[in-house]
Amino acid sequence: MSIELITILMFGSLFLILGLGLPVAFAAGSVGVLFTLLLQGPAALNLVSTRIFGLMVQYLLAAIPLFIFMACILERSGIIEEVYEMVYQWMSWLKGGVAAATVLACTMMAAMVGVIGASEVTMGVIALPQMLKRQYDKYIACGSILAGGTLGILIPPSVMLIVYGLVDNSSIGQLYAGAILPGILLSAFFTAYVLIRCYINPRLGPPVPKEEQVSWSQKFKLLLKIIAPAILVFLVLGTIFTGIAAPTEAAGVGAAGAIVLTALQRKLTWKGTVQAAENTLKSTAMVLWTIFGANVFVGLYIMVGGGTFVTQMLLGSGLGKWGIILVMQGILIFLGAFIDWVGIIMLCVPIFGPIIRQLGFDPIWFGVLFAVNLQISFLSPPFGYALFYIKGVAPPEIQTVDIWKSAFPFIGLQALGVIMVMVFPEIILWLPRILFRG
Amino acid sequence: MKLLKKFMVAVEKTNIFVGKLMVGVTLLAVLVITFEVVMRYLFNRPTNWGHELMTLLFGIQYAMCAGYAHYHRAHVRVDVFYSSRSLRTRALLDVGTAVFFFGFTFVLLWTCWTFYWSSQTMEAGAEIFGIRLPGERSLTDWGPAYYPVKFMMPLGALLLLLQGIVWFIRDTYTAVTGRQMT
Repeated sequence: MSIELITILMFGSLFLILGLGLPVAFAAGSVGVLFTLLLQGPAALNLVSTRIFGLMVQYLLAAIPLFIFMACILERSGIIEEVYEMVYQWMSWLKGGVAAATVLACTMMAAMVGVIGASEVTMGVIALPQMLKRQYDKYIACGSILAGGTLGILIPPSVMLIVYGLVDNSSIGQLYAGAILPGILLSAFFTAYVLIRCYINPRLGPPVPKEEQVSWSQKFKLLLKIIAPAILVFLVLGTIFTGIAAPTEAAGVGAAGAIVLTALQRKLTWKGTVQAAENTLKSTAMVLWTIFGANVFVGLYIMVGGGTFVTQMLLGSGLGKWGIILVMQGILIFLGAFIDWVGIIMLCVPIFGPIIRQLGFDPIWFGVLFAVNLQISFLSPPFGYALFYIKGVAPPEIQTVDIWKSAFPFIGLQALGVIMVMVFPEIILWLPRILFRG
Repeated sequence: MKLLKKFMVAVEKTNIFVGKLMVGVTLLAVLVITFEVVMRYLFNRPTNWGHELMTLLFGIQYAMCAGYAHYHRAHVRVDVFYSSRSLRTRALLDVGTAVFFFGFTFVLLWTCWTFYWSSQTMEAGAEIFGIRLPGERSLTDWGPAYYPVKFMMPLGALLLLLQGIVWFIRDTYTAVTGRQMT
């Protein structure tokens, strides 16, 4: 069988079965198994168990459940509420200030959690009703939470970049360092957007009246409350960036620290901890089994020469290196509308990674660009994860269509972010160079 | 029919129970890494087993949670076509794609079993009181036995397969009658 035919048959049957609704893990796994049998014979099937075991005992992979657990614990700690309260009191006097505060609080939380669920849900519960009560435009209100919460998986600690680093064999510490400035840039875009819209038309986000604002001493008191979470961020990220600890160990520090913080908040209960572990188990199962299944699929495809085939096809296409990058971005945006991020990383990175290196691009730059691009996939209707989270907690008068509409301007801003980091690669590369000198 | 129901209930109860066990394993793994971090950074006395034990505990968790997650239908799907269909159409689709599910899980179960068995019967030269013990060990300083971890793979695959059979029965029932099986 020629590699062209194999490519068409493998991806064709994969997308067909995925479309029919079989979970990604089993769809990718079964197509992988079927073609292993066809192309390499039954003896090669042993690769299935060997590959899965190799991943099971992968030390770095353990950072995923740990960071997910950390987020699940923090979700119950009341810290998200306090961070929001602090930023809210500091910014609510601005036109559109509550929406801007929402984005900033999400950005701060993103430095503590590596997934999107925790901030999306909590902010949807506390910030959305508040904005609606203050007569904020519903599109601004929903959009700021959607976009802000999505930063959770970009700004380190990020579960996405762990998977990326593992698949691409690149340094997770450097990926983390590279993702900080793009994350802040996106956050600044979102904040500027809601503020500008509300200054042009104050009816979209009226400022909170003077008599409802708290005193300055109150504001500083609120600031004190976030010292403990700030220490946690410093411990987790600091140990990674200074090279003291591997990401897994830092995730362990984070998980333990989250428990201590929750205890300090007097919110630590046995029941809550068990529930957090239960949610961790489900989320981990989702991520890990997609990794297992897709690994069987893509592992075989690379083995039969698929990687080389795609490389030669792209290199011989006459697109030039930036043309190839753009094609890749297009593929990511397209896939992002349908498949979840784990599947996309597993399917694309083993194929794209070597091409990027051949073209002479920095793999860290591409990894962060990849993650910035995948931000769009969380907001793009109809299947962006963030949309579902907000729909789940929004009051009934907010329709699904409203949520979709609210996402579009922010998708535009995310796309602008993708363009920015492509035009100015230094936004990504500057910090890793400073932090990992030598 | 009664026997079938009993089988289904047994499988689902087992997976729920395994889920509870794995919640315990998750918490244990967090405890282990916490202990390791405290020993290392506060007392400067790192263990030689903390990281590996945590990794293996999480490995067990991954292997065993597949059936539990499938019980909750938590495995990620592509929603383009599937999620907007009626209950009955979804059941029909699930019955249709089941052949792929079973193809994968059968291979998974089989290869994981042979993988485990070769680990179990490997002579790694371990001895207790002069009696030679079979079974593969990790090559690290701590050197824990690998075969119990590997045993979780066919076991987890079996739980996934059984849960898949239960869903297959439920989906067939829904596809035929248009109702959910109670």
